[in-house]
Amino acid sequence: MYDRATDKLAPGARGDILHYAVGFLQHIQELYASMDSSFNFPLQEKITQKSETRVNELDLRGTPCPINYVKTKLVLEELEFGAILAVLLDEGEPIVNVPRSLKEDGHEISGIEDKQGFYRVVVKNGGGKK
Amino acid sequence: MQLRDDQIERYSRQLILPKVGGKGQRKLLAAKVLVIGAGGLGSPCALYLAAAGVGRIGIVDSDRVELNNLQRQILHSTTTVGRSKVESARLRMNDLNGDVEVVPYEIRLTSENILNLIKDYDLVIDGSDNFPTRYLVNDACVMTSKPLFHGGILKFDGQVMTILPAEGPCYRCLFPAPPPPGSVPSCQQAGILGAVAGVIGTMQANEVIKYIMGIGNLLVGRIMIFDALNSSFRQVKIPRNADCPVCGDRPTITELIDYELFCSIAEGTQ
Ligand SMILES: [Zn+2]
Repeated sequence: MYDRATDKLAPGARGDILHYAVGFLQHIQELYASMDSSFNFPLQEKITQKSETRVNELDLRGTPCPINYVKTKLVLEELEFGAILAVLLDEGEPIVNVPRSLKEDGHEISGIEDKQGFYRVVVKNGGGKK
Repeated sequence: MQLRDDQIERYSRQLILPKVGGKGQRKLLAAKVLVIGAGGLGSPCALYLAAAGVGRIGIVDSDRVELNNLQRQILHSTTTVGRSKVESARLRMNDLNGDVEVVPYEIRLTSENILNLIKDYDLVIDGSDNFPTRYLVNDACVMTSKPLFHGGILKFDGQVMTILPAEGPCYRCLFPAPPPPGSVPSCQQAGILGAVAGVIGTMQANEVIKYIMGIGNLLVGRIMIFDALNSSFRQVKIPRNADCPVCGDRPTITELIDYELFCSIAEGTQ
């Protein structure tokens, strides 16, 4: 990669290559920064989770009120502002109470899906880490 | 530090509060507080702090539990009469909440041992029943910049004040020196209604919890006075006294003093 970044290339292409190289270097630096105390790299899935590529899901089926709400709150507290969290809730009291309480806390309910017997509630974090 | 499932259940009613949450709970679990006196004020205060999940609670008292203590000192019970108060306190607090590390100190506080004792703690709660201890604790906290949560009770009245050295007034800003021996009725003669101690000790616990979590407004620069017979609270603003002998601009007290103990009947401690 480096020996192709010569004067013979068009200025635009050179910029692209430089951009790629900088990105690559940053990626390596991040990877080293995430190394644990015994010099092991974290598993790839943990890194992708961190970069918010997949939606976090919290299965609270069978967890009664208000513990289901408390657990949701605790997870949202640790996520970034604006992060998406899907919560699986039982029908009855949980689906009536939890989304309402989350809304009162300033979170956004962006969708409620009826999964026949339980619900999948998508929450957009209105609080989170400060 | 992740909360365990049983902790989420135990603390759920405070985790739910908007200003508490997991962050506030973790602060409580990491906090180290020292309660002076396992008596009328120390009892409700230590119980609420243990219930809330304060991680380490040191408790200082040199007395043994007596039957006449039980009317207000709710840390103790009929079965612990005759045992050391700090041991009785430890049993009760651990029974309430095993998350809490209770450190008993069966000692009398003096100018010799107090600094070494308070240095391992984030803050100090004064639940003492006598002036020598109260002044000793105030001075030691001012000199070492330790937050101090003051409470006092007499008959049907009580008072609460939070002392953040350098930020607000201390106890001496208000009362520069202890009253001369004999000028105040002894604790034994004065008497106290147990529930009044409950109100004041509980307010001290409330201040401590707010301080640890960093929420709300503390009783700094103001004293709260409770009149039990009239069921009323009164707040008095107190400025920091520039002439205060210990926290003023030119302090005259630079060493700890052991005043003569003229109220020797144990109400809270010592
Ligand atoms: Zn002062």
